[in-house]
Formats: sequence, C-alpha cells, structure tokens
Amino acid sequence: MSEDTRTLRVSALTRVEGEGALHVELRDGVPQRVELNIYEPPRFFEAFLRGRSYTEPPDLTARICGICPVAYQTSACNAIEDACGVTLDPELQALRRLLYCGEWIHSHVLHICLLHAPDFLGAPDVFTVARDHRAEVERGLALKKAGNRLQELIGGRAIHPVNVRVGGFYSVPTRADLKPMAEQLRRALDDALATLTWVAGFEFPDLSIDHELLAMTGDRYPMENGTIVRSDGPTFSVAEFSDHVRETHVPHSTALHATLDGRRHLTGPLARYALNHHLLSPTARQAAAAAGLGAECRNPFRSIIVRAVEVVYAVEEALRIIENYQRPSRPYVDVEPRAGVGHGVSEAPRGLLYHRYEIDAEGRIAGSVIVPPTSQNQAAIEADLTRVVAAGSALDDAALTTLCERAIRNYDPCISCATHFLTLTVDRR
Amino acid sequence: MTAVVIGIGNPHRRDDGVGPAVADAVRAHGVPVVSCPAEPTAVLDAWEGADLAVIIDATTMLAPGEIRRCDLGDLDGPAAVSTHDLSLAGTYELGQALGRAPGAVVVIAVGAADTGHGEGLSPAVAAAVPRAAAAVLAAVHGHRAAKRGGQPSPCPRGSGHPN
Repeated sequence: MSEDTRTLRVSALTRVEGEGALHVELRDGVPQRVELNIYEPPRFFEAFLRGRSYTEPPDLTARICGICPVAYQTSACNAIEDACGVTLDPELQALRRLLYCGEWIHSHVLHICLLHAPDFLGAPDVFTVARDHRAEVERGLALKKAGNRLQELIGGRAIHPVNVRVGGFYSVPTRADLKPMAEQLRRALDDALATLTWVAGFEFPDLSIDHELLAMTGDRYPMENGTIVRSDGPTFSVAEFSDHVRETHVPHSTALHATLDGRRHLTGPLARYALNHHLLSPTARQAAAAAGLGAECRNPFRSIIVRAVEVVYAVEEALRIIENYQRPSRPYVDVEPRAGVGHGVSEAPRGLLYHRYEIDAEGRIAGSVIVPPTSQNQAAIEADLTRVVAAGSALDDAALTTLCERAIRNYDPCISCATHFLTLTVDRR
Repeated sequence: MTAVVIGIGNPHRRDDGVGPAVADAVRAHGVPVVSCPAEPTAVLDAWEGADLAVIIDATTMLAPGEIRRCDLGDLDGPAAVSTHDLSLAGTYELGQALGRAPGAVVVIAVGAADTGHGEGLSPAVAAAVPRAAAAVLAAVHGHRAAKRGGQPSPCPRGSGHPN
C-alpha cells in the first residue's frame, strides 16, 4: 500500500442501535468509496405478517424496535384504520398522541444524554460523562423516566406497550390517573429546558447538508399522524408514498436504501424541524431561538440541539393534552375488516415511518410494506460521511474514524429497525 | 446495612420469570424486594441506597434449575454500549459514576430451560426456586454478619472487572 493510500476500519459501531460497520476508501486524500455496511440479519417482518389477522400488526411490528415501538404501533394502526375506513374519536387521537410524546421524550433523551453527548465532551463513553457531568446525566435520567412513565401509564408498560389496539386502546385512563403524571411532567419541563441549554453550549464541527427534507405536517408539530411535506418538490399524499419513496437493495447492506424520486433525502429531527418550525409551541420556539437555532438547521452535528427542542415540545405537548383530557367515551372504535389497502405514517423519533397493508375481506393481511426512517437516511448518512472524510482527510486514522462515527451518530440510526449498524474500514491509497 | 433483592426477568417468557419468582419467595423474610425488567435505569432505581444488591436472573448458560452464585467480576464488562445492550456490569459502572451503586452485588444465576412465550416455570426451574431463595437469603445474612463483625463485604465487585 503506498503512502497516499489509507484504509479506515470500524468493525462494530458503538452507541447506535443494532449492528453495523463502515468502510471508507481514500485515494490521494479523496474519498472513493464510503459504505455503511449493515450486517445485522434481515428480519423478514413484512413476509411473516402475510396471512396474519389485521388486528395483529400493532403488536407484531412493535417488536421491530425496543426504543420506538409506539411509532410502529401507531403507523400500523393508522394504516389498518385507513384500509378499513375508520376515523378515531378525537379523544382517542389525543391519547395516541400523548403516548407518542412519551416515546419521543425517552428515546430522544437516551440519545442526547447517554449516546450522543460523549461525542461533544471528549468522552469515550457514557460512564466518563456520568463521572464528569453527573448532574446533567442524572437530570437526563429523570427526564427519560418521565417519558417511560408516560408510556407505562398509557401503554401499559414502558417497553413494547400492550394497551394499543387497532381503533384505540384496550383501556383508557381517568383524569385522576393522569394527575400525578402532570406533576412529573412539570418538573420534566424544567429538566428539558436545562438539557437544551446544556447541549446548546457544545462545540459543533462545520457541515451543511443539501439533502431534500421529508417529514409530516399538520395542524400541530407532526407526531402521531398528519400529511406529508417535502422541502423541494411537490407534496404527495400518504397513499402515494411508495410512488415517490422507493427502496432498493445495495450489495453492501442488509438494509434497503430508499430514495425520494430517485434522489437521496433526509427524514428525522432536522427535516421535521425545518418543515414545521412554525408549529412548535411558543415555549419550544423561544427555547430554540435562545439555543441559537434559526427556522431551520442544516448542520447534522447540531441535531442534538433539535432533539432537545423536540423534548421540550413533547413534554409541553403532553402537559397540554393532559390539561385538556376528556376520558374517551369508549376505549376503542370498532374496526370491521374489509378488503382494501391502507397507508399509515407517523413521525418516529428518527423520522417518518411508513406502513402499508393489503387486507382481504376476512381481515387477513395479504401484503405489507414497512419503510423505517433509518433506511431512508442511509444515503444521506453516506453523503455526509463522504464530505466529512474529504474535509478531514488530513487527520490521522484514529481521529478520522472518530469523526466518521460522530457523523453517523448524528442520525441516531436504528440499524435494527432498518435491517430488513458499526465496523469502520478506511482504505487510503 | 441495607440489602435489596432484585428479581430481573419477564414472567411472560416462561423461565425468564425465575428472577421475580425467587424475589417473591424471599419477600416474607423482611428483605426489601423489587422485581423489574432487565432495563438499566430500573436496576439503578431498584438498588439505590442499598449496600448490598442480590440480583436473581435467568441464564441459558447453566443446566435447567442449576444455581450459581457469582459477583459482577464474573460477568461481561460494559463493552460496547448500545441502547439495546447495557450489561449488568455496565449498569453497575454507570451507577458508580453517578454515586448510585451499592457497595456489593451478588448475582444468583438460575439455569433456564424455556424462555418462550407464556407464563409459568418449567418443572426443573420451578423446583429450583426454594434453593435459589435460600441462596439469596444466605447472601443477605452473610453480608449482615460481615457488617456486624466489621468485616469487608464477602462479595465485593470482582477485581478483575475493568473500571
């Protein structure tokens, strides 16, 4: 290997969900090949859903992820309810959104405080951060606990909630049930604002992305349901999702790569924030401005700030829903099967999550498509990595490898969700 | 001189529920008992303020119903941390960094035969519950006796574990 040839290898990425690796080849300092190798085995959920009852996808697909099961349950419910022509009662819709707030809080805080913060504090792991920034980590754990508690209260348990069903819930809480939760959330709002101030003080590498942004939108900051919006092209309906977002196999990954009208795109907090900044609550918007964010943020290293803004929003939104809570007159809407196709989306913490189900007249699932955010973001992550490697080619292998891992963690990628992530290999020649 | 018994496991996954089952069996002996899933923050909360934590967990590395007492030094280190996988040793290290780790941890591992879906323990594992409960109580009583005698804990964290 000549002096101007370098190979970097990261064979098992840490502080990401699942198992993956990175391979980078440099020739005379110019990146030739940057591949995110997802080697976690394919999981075949779409295949084994075939023949199952239309009532089962919320519980089955929740098992795709232990961090964002509510996202899977919600997109599944939305799609099946769409297929069966059912609209949720507004009180049930609000409860579904409240459950989703819990997932955003605990998932985002986990990433901010335990997985991502070490990158900005020069720490190798969360243990070092916990020793050196004990108060901040304790605050994060308390905040995460509020999110988990919300999921236990509405969903029946914190991991893989059991109270969600097509059409609503098996049981619904009373106002009195929610009262202690409101007290915990009021403390959590202070913690969320303090966490935002903390991460806004970090130092961030320069990077500005030009990926097209894809997210949901609606009457409120998007979460449990809504319509689709994009930054560059004409918008399209949820039913047209597969016409625009197409998944293809790539040789170096067991996860599918998705493109938006043939080009790379980005979903997740940066996209959501840029396309929905006007829908944030006044408190979250003001806190974002105080943290130095404009109406959009195109530096993925600053995504930790956007996540912290979204935590502020989710806590405040949960408080709003509890404040206005009217116990639903029925825990669920009856959903009778009918032959047809349904489409559902929701904003998982990592981005837009699409489900499509084809159901026969007896309620059996004839086909399904699940497009998770991480498979949509893989091309964007690889594009970011190419730019990071080009800009950092003067760095030694260890420093460049660290920078690459940071560029990947910017996306809080959920490799387990996408396989259907990291080992880094850098080849310099 | 407080001790807490923590039964880790999911009673809806057959023998994985042996931890909570043993915890239930020692509840009548005046020792604080907590059952929780294998989730790091739940374990951090469960052992807060205790100077001994006795953890019962199922393992597929022992024969069904076989019981082994070990300390954290015998278990895997924190290794690579992902959100799906913070080991018990990693949880202890996080607790130490936060000043929320007990002085000593004893792990009572019970061999599992079936961790499939459903409730109820398989016969060999159910038969091991009284012996596992006795091992838990022996760890608690041994720790108390050592404390009264001014002796160091009989089961400190393993010295071979990376800090």
